[in-house]
Amino acid sequence: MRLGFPGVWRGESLKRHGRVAIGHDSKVISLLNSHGERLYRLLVRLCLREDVAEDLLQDLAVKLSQASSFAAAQDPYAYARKAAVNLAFSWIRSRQRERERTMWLSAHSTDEPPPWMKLVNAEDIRRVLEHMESLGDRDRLILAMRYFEEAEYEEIAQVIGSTDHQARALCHKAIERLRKAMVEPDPSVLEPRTEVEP
Amino acid sequence: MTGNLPTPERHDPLQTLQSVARIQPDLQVAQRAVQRAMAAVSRRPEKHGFPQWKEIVMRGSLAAAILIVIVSVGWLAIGGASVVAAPTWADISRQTRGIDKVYIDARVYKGVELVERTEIWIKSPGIIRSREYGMFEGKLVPMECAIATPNAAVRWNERTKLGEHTSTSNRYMIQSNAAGMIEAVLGISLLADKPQQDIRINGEQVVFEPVESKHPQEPTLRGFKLESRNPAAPPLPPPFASLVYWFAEQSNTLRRLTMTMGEGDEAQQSDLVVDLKPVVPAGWFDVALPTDCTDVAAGVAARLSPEVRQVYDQVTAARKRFGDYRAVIWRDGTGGWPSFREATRGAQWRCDSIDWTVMESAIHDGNRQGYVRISPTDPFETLWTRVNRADYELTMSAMTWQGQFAILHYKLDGRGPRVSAQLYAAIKDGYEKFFAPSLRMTAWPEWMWWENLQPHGWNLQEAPLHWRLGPEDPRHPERVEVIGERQQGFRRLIRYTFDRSKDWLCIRQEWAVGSGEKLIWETTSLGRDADGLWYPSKVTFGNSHYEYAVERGAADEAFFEYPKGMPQPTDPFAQFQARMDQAIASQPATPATARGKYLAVAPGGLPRGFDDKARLEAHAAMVEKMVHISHKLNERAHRHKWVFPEDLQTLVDEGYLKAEDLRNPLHPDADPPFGYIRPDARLPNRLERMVLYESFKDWPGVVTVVFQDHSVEYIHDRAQFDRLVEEAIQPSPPSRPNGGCSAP
Repeated sequence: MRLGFPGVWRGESLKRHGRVAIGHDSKVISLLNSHGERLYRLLVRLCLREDVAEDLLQDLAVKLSQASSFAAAQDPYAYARKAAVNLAFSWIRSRQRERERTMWLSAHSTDEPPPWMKLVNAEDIRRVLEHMESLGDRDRLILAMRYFEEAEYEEIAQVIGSTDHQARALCHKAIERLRKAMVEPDPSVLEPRTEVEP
Repeated sequence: MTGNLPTPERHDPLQTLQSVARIQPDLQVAQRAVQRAMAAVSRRPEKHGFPQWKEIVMRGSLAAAILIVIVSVGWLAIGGASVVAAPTWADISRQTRGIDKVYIDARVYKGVELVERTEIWIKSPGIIRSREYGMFEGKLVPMECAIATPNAAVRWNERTKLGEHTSTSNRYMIQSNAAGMIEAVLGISLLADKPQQDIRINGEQVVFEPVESKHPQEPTLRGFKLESRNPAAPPLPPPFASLVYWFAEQSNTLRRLTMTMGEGDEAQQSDLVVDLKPVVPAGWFDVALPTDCTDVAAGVAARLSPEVRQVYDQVTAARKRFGDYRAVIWRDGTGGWPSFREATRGAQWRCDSIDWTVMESAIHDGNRQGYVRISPTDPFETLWTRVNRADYELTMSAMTWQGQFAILHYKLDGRGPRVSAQLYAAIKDGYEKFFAPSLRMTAWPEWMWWENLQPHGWNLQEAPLHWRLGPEDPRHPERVEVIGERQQGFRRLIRYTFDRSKDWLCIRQEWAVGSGEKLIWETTSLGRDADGLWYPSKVTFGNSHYEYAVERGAADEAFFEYPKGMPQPTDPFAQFQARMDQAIASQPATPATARGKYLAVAPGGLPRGFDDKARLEAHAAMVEKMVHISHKLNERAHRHKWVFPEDLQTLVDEGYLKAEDLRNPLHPDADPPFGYIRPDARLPNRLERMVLYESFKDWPGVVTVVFQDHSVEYIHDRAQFDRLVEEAIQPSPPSRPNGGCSAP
């Protein structure tokens, strides 16, 4: 008696189950174990919405588990942080574009805002975020790390491959660009957008 | 009075940024979010719905690993004539014949830490029972269980004691041949009587070499390790590093399998204990839920107290009286453009969110499309005709399809013409909010509606709500309040208020989540049809206000058809199922070796139809290169004021690419190796334009293309490909596809 598995099963199953990559999912789980709350806090600060941050964290986990480049990343947290920032700004972008959805969702937290909401001017932050979205990826990442993740310049320098002093200068320049963008949204003052992974 | 309005105070962005640190989300909420993210990884849906059976029988990576071992060993059988030099194998063959049941206890260790466990019982013919353990409060505890046959299945959760009968259609393949699984596990075919000289896996000749080391738990066992004769080609594909069979020394009975997966810090060791004579209780393989489990597929009604059930029945009866309906829904911010269309027809339901921004922009551009504003006061047929125009673009749909709920995404992240779909066994947590304004969710919420989405509507890990009547309101004696609560879970409280004087419509809903946040929606105005039946005409959700135009009566059958152009994730699976049946029926058709004979996926199924493994791998490599080139094009353009190079060779000349990068693995002789359309960064919707495509002379039936946003698509239609080429450089924005391409 022989087995009757068709060829597609043999080929595709290995392809797919290879993708399941035991070590890969566990890498994501391990990352979430060690840095999950930090990523969640970053997402809450970027989205100003706990429910959205929760959704995005799930999206992030799934994306990471499917990204071969994450499996190969030397610093999984740095990779995940960059992906989280991109996801958050993608959400901010889509929120702007799809006001329909946003205005419905905005009702979600109207009755009992989380306690931290009373400590900040959400409208101001939202405005800053929307203008941050128009900055280049590097500026955005630097500002996100410095102010939304409270990272030291040393850590930022490691991520962007510069010295501490350069990181500090780049951060100030990014704020200058943000100021200009908020006063006069002239595309010429903005750093050209770059496409970066992830 | 006139005068200048005060300018709102605006803070310096630095000051604002510095204030962000004050945002400190609640730790418990954060932990819950992290747990849910972890769960999302472990239960994410597979593309194309291919291994859906795994979701029922075995979910975890360990299960996948076991499966691969089983299938891999099965290859040995398929591989044909083979024998192991050691005489032991023939002895084993004799001893293992006639076995009709096998039990496998599979544990995964990372170092010495037990990280995963799955138990599997296989009974010939065609029954598999599984119990998967999950991490709960720091311990591995039994969680998901299932019994599956080719015709019926049940699944339940040991921790929550929730279960359901579930369909087996398009879900099972291996289960239909449990005898084959046993055979594969034991390697019986490998040990057939006839001489076998050539054992092959994936075309590579393999041997079983005795191992000198002893099994750590049972030192008396003898191990045979699967080795390849070709050092460059391991016997099992990554991430499998090794597979060892362990036999009892005296009886030559298979006792254990050891698998090593991954390398370095990620290495995991799986230890599978095999029992060839398992003793199981009577009825162990019966397809039935355990007696202590609640069948959630039976719906919430069966679990209600008599007084709550009375309300439930009244609401349900009122809903039936109202019957089928069509509805158009506006949100206040849309300025007259509709936000949703919704209809029912018997058990069928569909709700689409409409991209009104397309219409708004069309107005600004001169409104060549003839969009007009419509309002709830217009004649309904006019409204319905309008919202069913082909050019009313949709962003997302929720619908019942083939007895399940489907969520279809037409535009992901608002990035334009990408067709994608995710089919869920039911609407998962989080999706309800997108369709909450639908009548199905507001007027007749079906009592914790996600609990009632039959079949497969329940996440078995979530505890059910306990329902009770709320206090009576002396000011509103016509109102009846029903409250659902639970101690754990994301939504811990649901409060419905029904109005018995208004056909038992739900006029208020309150949802509370663990962190104390609440979402409230209230019906602020009601409409009444010619028969005097009530329906909501205005609803308020927090700061949002919705208006409804409702017409009783069913929509056309066509409205409930699966949208054209959207991938149907179950299709390839169904085709696979058919192919498997065919393969089993005609054994001679099975190729002698796996290499070079992988069956192509039928046209219209999976995106590619390659007929051998080498070609499949070459294609994957080609896609990888194309995406890499696409990134490098952007990098180069960024440094040259967004001017893209005239040709790809420039990238090599300027050091962005290596010469090897321009070699097409799938078409090594192609000249040029890749089709390149020089992007113009000044054109609108740049990211939606094609930049690279697979070289071809004659139309090959499907062509891989890459867009400027680095996304990859497969174009099945020559006319569509030509249009994409044309639209890549045309001044006006590219059109949106109407089918014919599929997400990779």
